Amino acid sequence: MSEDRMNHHGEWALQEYLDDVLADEDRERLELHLAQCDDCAAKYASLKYLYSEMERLPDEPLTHDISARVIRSISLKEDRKPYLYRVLMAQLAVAIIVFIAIWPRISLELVNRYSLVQLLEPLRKFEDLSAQGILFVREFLNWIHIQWIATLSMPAIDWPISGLPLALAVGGMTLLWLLGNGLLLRQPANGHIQP
Amino acid sequence: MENPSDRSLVLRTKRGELEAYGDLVRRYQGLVFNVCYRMLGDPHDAEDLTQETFIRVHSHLDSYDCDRPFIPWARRIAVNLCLNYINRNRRYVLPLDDEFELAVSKERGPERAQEDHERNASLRQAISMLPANYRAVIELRHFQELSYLEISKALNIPLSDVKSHLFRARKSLAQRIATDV
Repeated sequence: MSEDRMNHHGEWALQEYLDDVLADEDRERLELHLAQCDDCAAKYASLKYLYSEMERLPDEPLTHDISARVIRSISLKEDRKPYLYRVLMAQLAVAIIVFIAIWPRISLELVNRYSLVQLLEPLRKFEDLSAQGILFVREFLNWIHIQWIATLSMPAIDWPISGLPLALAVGGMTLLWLLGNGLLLRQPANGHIQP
Repeated sequence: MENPSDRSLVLRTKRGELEAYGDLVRRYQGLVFNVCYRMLGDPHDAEDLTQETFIRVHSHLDSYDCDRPFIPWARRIAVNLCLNYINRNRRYVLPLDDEFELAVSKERGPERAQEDHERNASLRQAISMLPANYRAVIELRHFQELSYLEISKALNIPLSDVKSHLFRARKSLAQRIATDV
């Protein structure tokens, strides 16, 4: 450790000395310095006092046994595990069935409501800037329309409501589903645990 | 009958014996409570976090290597939970419960007990005034005796941060204690 470091980083070196992480050479140099420098010796005494105070800080007694509460919380969690798994699997299955059943209806509704021309409308203002790009996007969307949306042949349930309310209803149901799962999966031991 | 080792209690817990885990909790609840108490400065919150620590430890037992000592691992989880708790509660106030301090000290004669009580309270107060990450490094270094590198791994922060946090925390504590003496 250089003299300069001792001067500028004296306290840092003192802490490393007390932590016993200084190399032997640095340790000897610091000890020599402490014997000559009252200022550093005072800082060392202050730090040593802090270290000893922390070392002798007594543990506080826990006034009562919490093991029963811990075990009860874990048991509750364990009990819910298989039940939760079954519920989640059932929800997933229902969601997939509903999705398969209504998707063609919604997609066709979307296609009818928002024709290809309408979909491309926002892009028209960029047409002058990048005609080639627009052409590419137009052809790509057209390809998607022809290849996929227009040829959907999955059986769709003929819901008595139109596409948008149906989509909103499904969205709402999804939200409720997520909310319900959130409540179901909520950690009982989050921060404050009641006995 | 000889007390079962931590390892055997953990193995039994992993096999689903919750009674074995209850024994582990009873064995170490005081140690974990004190980690939380030093980190939070409030005995009631510390008790809640002690409970949460043991629940968290139980849910992570699958990833725990039984050949390593149990309690250092559990105490590190407690420190991280306390850090998260403090960060979630920015307006967290840090009262110190006098009853806890006096309960320990009063057996040693009234004057000495009062003196000890004041010194301990002063140090606890000084620790609880530190920023949360400074408290964590002080806890891990001075009360759990981890090396700089181990602290860096436990808190997932760079080694340079460990050193600078420790340096600043101790400097602040030393100044505060010096003014209180």
